[in-house]
Amino acid sequence: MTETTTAESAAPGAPAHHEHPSDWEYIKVAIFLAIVTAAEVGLYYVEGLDRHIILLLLCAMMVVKFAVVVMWFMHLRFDSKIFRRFFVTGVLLAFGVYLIVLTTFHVWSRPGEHTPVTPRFPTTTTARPG
Amino acid sequence: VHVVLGILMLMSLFMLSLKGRIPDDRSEVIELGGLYWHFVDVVWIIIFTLVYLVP
Repeated sequence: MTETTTAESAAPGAPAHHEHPSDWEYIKVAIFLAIVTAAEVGLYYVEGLDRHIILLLLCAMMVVKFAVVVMWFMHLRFDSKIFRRFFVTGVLLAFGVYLIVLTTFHVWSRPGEHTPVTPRFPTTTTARPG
Repeated sequence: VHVVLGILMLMSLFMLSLKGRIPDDRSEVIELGGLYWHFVDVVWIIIFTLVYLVP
């Protein structure tokens, strides 16, 4: 017998009924998150590792932690699928906006690579003689 | 501001539940408070990595 029942097994039209995991499962999730956070902080002090590898590892751990918190502590794993779809849509939209903002500020170009756009019209007017 | 608001919400819920002012039929109040707190939590997961840890 499983500890949880998902909302998908409920009859159509019936209110979503779900049971939450046991307290021990929440404690196990919290311990896992603490271990991943410790690994993140430990990685910060590692020397001699390529910057890109550190960035990749940190982002991977960030995504794992995000997913675990959302699935367990925000109950998306045990709720109706419609909530999951709402959440994923919002996250994807926010991620897209974030990428657009980063691109607008030329985060992807190396220092000195970006040449500022010259304005089409002169911004200062000089007085003509006569 | 979000963290302070979350702490205030959690403390209020804790005090109300100690006094028995949250009956079973209003248990969604606890759930909503928890959802807000974990929303702040997931935002901080990203901020902590991108602002404090990324070299």
